[in-house]
Formats: sequence, C-alpha cells, structure tokens
Amino acid sequence: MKIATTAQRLALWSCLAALLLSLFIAACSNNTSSNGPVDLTLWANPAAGEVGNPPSNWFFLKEVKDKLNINLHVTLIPYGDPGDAKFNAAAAANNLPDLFAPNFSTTNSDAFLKWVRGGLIAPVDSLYAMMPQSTKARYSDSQMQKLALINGKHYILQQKAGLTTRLGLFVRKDWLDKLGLQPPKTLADFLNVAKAFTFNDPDGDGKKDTYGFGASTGVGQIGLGSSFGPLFGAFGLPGIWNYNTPGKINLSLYDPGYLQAVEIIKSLQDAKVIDPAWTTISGADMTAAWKQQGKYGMMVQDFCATLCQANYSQFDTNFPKGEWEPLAPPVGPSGQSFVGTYTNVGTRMAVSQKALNGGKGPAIAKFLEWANSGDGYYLACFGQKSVNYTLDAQGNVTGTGASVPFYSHDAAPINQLRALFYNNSQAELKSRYNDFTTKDGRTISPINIYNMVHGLPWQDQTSSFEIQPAPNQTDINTYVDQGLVQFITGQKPLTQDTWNAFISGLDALGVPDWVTQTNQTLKSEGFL
Amino acid sequence: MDQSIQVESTVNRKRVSRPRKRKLEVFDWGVLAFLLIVLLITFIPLWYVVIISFTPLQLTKAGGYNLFLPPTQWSFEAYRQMLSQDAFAHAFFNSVVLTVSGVTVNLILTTLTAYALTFKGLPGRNIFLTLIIFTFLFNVGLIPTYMVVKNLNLLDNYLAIILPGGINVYYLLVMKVFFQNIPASLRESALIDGANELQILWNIILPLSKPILLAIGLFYGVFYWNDFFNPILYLNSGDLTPLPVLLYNILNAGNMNDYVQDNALYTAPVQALKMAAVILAMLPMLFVYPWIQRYFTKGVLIGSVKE
Repeated sequence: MKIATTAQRLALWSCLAALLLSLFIAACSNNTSSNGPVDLTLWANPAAGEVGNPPSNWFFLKEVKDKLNINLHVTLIPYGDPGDAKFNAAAAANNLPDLFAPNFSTTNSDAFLKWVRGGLIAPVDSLYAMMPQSTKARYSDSQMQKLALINGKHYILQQKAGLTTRLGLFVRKDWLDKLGLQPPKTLADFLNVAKAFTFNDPDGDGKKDTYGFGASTGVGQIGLGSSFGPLFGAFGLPGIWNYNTPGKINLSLYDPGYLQAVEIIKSLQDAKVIDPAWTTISGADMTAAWKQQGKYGMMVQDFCATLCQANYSQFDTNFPKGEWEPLAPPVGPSGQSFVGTYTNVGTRMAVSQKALNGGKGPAIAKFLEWANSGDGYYLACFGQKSVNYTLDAQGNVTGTGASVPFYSHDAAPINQLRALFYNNSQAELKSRYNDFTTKDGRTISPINIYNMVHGLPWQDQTSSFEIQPAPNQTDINTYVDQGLVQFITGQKPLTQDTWNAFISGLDALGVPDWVTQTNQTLKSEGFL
Repeated sequence: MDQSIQVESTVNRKRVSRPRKRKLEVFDWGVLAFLLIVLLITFIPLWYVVIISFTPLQLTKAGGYNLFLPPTQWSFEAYRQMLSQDAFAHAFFNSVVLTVSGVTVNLILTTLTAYALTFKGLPGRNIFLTLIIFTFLFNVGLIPTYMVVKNLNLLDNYLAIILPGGINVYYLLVMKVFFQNIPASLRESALIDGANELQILWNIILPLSKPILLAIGLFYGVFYWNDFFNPILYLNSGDLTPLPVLLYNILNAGNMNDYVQDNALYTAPVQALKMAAVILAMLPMLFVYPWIQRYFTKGVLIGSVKE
C-alpha cells in the first residue's frame, strides 16, 4: 500500500477548496453594480427561435449602452408551456424582468391579470409623458387604451396590430385554368370546384392524389378553427363568438346557422373532397401536404406562409407552374360572407412593479423611445446600415446593396427583437415582405396579396381578447371539438334532435353562466 | 491403423466434449417472434426519423417520406444546413460543458455521500438517511425550488441546473449498496497499512467501482444532455443556451416560422431539418454508450481478496 504524500494530500484539499470557492463565486457572480449604466432586463419571444440567439457581441446591446447608458440584458423566451412556466416561476419569486412582452398561450391568458392583482405589474401611465413620440405613434389608440385598462389604470403598453387579417382563403389558380373553372362564389360553387379538384386530376399526373379542400382543426379553442372560418362565415358566424346582436354576444354554436355550416362541412366530408386527415393533421404536416406534395386545391392559410419568398420556395421548386391566389369567401344563403375574424391587438409590453420601484421608469421610457423610432428602430428591426440594409431613393429600407440583407438566413439572429419594434407602415411592410420572381418568371408581391385579403369581408372581434377562459375551458373545448368531429365524420348522425342534444350538453358544462359572465365583463369594460 | 483409431478416439472425444445443439421448441420460436416484433416496433420509428432527415426536397413531392428510401437518393442538405449554423455549434458546445461539469459534480457528491453512509457507525446515520429518503418521496415543486435558486443568486448560471439535482437519491442508494457489497476486509487491510478514509476511497473503493460509477455517470450525463426545461427556467443569457433548448425551438419552428417573412430554414424540407437536428443531438449519447457498456460486463473484485 502506497501511503499518500503530503503533496497528494495537499492536492486533494486544494480541489475541495476550489469546489467550495467556485460555489461561493457563482453565488456572488450576479451582483449588479450600483454605479455606471442602468441594468435593464428585457424578456420577449424571438422572431425566429430556430436560428438561435444573437451573438455575444451583438451590436444592438453595444449601441444601447453607448447611446443610452443602459446595460440591456435580453432573454429570448421560447413559445409554449416552457416559456409560460418561466414567467410563472419568475412571478412567484417576484423576479419578473423590468420590461417584457407577455404573450401567453391560451391556457395562461389570465396569468397576467393575477399578476396585476398581486401588485407585480406596474401601471404605465407615468411613462407616457417620458416617451411622447412613442406614445403618440403607438400607444394612443383609444381601443387599445381600453384593452390596457384595469381598474382605472393602464398596465400594458398596447400597440395596434399592423397586419390584422393574415389568414386568407387561397385557391390553385393553375388548377382552375386547367379545368376551365371560375373561382367559386357560393357554397354550391365551392362544393363543385372542390369535387373537380378532387376527381378530375387537376395536376395532370394521372393519379388520384389531390383534394379540393385541405384543413386542420384548431387546438386550444372551441370549434374547428380558422381553417373552416369562411364556411362558417357564409352564415355570419366566422368565429367562436357571435357578434351579430348589438349589445350582446353569444357563442356561435347557439345560432341555427352554425348547424347549417356543419352540414355544409359534412357534405364536403361525405363527398370525399376534403383531406380526411383534417381531424388529426398537424400544422407541419398540412404545410408539407400543400407545399411539398401539392395535394390541396383550396385552403385557408397565412398569406406569408403561402406567398413570402422563403416560404414559397419549396412549393416553387416542386411546382414551378403552381399558382396560389386569394379567393373571396363563399356567399351563404342569406348573402353573408366572411373570411374569418380578426383583432386589432398588437404588440404588448409590460413593466414590473419591481422595476418602477427601483427607479428604472425613465430608463425604460428612454429605451422604448429610442427603439421605437430613429436609430434604435433600424438597429432592432433591420440591423446595421450598409451591412444589413440600405435606403433607397425614397428613404425606404431595402436589402439591395447590403452585404448581409436583413431578410437573409445569416441576418436572422441579429434582429430577433424586430417584432417588438415594427411600426407596420406601408413602406416598412413593403421592405419586410419583398417582391420576388418565381421560377417561371411571375412576380409575387406578398404585401399586395395581404392587401387583397384585407379587402375581403372580415369581422372585428377585438373585444374577444378581454374574454377570460371558463374555469373548465379545456373540458368545454374537448366536448365541442369531439362532438363536431363526430357529426362531420358520421360517427354520430347529424339531425336536428342530435344537434339539440349536443347543444343541451353545454348547459351541464356551465357554458351559459360563462357566456353571462362574459357579457357582464365586456359591458363593464365598455366593449358592448 | 492404430493411429486412425487414436485419431478416431480423439475425434470422438472432441465430438463428445462439444455441447449438443438444443432443438428450438415452439416456445422458443414464439419468444423469438415476440422479440422480433418488439425490435421492429422500437427500430422502425428511429429508422423513420433517419430517413426523413436524409430525404431531399424533390422527393417529398411524390408522396411525402418513404421508409425504404435507397441510400443513393439520400440528401445531406438538412445536415449541412444544420451544421452550418453557428447557433447549433454554440449550443452543442454549451451542452458538452453543462453535461461534463454536471456529471463531474454529481458523481463527486453522490460518491462521497454514498461512501459515508456505508458506515454503520456514522453518527446520525439514520437521521441522514431518513432526511434523504424524505426528499426522494416528497418534491416541493417548481416554484419553491426556483425561489431557493434565485435567493442563492444562482440564476443565469449552470450551477442553477447542477446543484438543485446534485444528488439523485435513487442513484445514491444504488451506489451505497454497491459500496456495502465490497468486502470489508479490503478496507481493514488498508487501515492496517496506515491509509486514511479518503485514501481508501480513492485507491481501493473507486477502482473497484468503475461499473457503477460509469453507469450512474451515464445516467446523469443523459439527464443533462436531454434537459431542456431547467435551462429554459434558470438561464437568461443566450450565450449559455444548450442544445435541447435550440432543438425545442427548431422542432416548434414549423408551426411558427411560416408566419414570419423570412423563413431561415428553407433549402431542405422542414421535417428533414427537424429530424436532422434530432439525430445530431442524439449522436453523442449513441457514441458514448457502447464505450461505457463494456465496463458494465467486466467482473468486479478480480483477484482482490482470497478468503
């Protein structure tokens, strides 16, 4: 047995001491300096989380420090439950960041209200005067101010959305041309065109591999989701809530027109013109179905997901002659038609009470004023001049002549905060959604497509943002969604009696009480 | 002739000494069939992930992804794009740092605690064991743990992920039992030679405990390599983001980035990019495991004590 030497013993004790010291250093490592720049923490969702975080030498942070004397610490929060859990844990520990963009999933939409009631969120009224330009340009819309009001004070810096009507009903124009069809106008036209797309080999490959209509069901909400919005819109019921009675809202389910819309969808199912996977297909699989396999003739889809250059490229590669164009929603028996619903709710920013108590209000206002306009706006939204963008003769942002254009893959990590500071002017939208040329020489202008979609009939349901979920919201969603799927797929017969029984089942779930409470809430907040 | 008889005898002796092949019974065939089914159920989804990651964009037009895609048609575009991203390399490095440091700290703490608890004469041993097992049975939950970590000023530090789970009680108990099964005479002989406890641990116990150290080290390693929730919860700085968090963002990108004007990942099918990210994240553990597995099968206490 070799006896350890003094040196070995010393080495062992040194390792133990180093381990303890490292714990001590780690514990002390996050102390902020009381002198020098103001430390501000900002939490927000990334614009494109899949490309990773900005580099450690991110120029944006350097500019904020040099120009504003602020040490900005940015944390990009993932979407979904993990991000919500981080916010909830921080709130429980009174450790919310100084400035953050609350963007909760549906299941946590009342979390923010709880934080306000718990005194964790600061009223932002005192900040308006400190950032006059931002207040005038972004935070003074009366409808948005109403949304931000809780117990007589504003707790959110609420902007109006720039692009409110992103979803459109699209049709394969090349298929219409090939089959000699006109764009469908009525529900009957819609069914006939869907049949032609399904059975008449519109892609000319000799296989029965197409469907007239592709859709997916929404998750986390009542009903079938926005894919079927135009079909319900033909009966004046494009959304979950029925806004057709002045001074009162109700669930669209209760309207007789809802049953008629379900019958229309069932007829699509029975005619086998809708992809049968619609009940379970994920968003990614549906994207693959229309983008890579070219299965669908009509679908409801985000305008940018369909026709922005990067998103369109896969479809363009596989189907260079393929052509999507917006389609007006079908008109129902009463002459009504809607593509769907929209809200005007845009970017939201909140300030923690801890930050205001720490005297950081002026720094927050200074940062927002700088980032919302001037140099900060360009740095946050586009990057560095000449590197990531240039200005054309009219002074509008363009990627032409830039070494790493702001819309390129390589530039994606450096403008992860762009969604917070976009101003959604027409000039900016034109820059963001650049025109491009397809493989067969057509020019596509995504922003023109958006404007076409925006010009179609939509229903404003901004006030629905204020509706709090029912205590048993998940049970209600499951009951309704399962029932609708069973009716449409034929698992349950769809008759007036079975439908009445289905609607009566909502009573047992407390839905009428929830609707009553919702009306009271909206009335008290001045939305009805 | 005598030689042939001798040879035949030798041959006969050799034939007799070889074990006779057992005829497979119906039951054996049933077991084989069942195991084959289990193998297929386990292997096919993994193979599907691999195939998707190698499917080129053009082939997705025909009908999606094909389980039997010939290697001549495989495309490495998804891997090329994934590996060319600085974010991926950076996150990979962060995961390696977190895993190595986490496994090191956890093994040190678990080993020292387990060894100390093997001594029946340790003052307060029963109290320690009771408290330790109490934490095994009851978990305070997310919020109190977060508050403790925050109050210790460990947020935005890898120690926030390593220290709260510094000792896994189940592994601790397994290691304790393993140490208890090492013959006490080994320790006694070392004590007679003048070794102290740390010397005994370092020079005798640990060398004999390679299988258990590697097994538990592997379990800790797999935990840290795959952990994405704790990094999201405790880390704020983007520089520290490990690979599972990036992978989570990539896998969710198909639902998100179609709604932004510049889709950063578009030269390969979106599903291929996701699956390539999954495969790349899996590879380190796949490489490490076979290397460690040979230590599991080595005998313990070879030539140590003859009693």
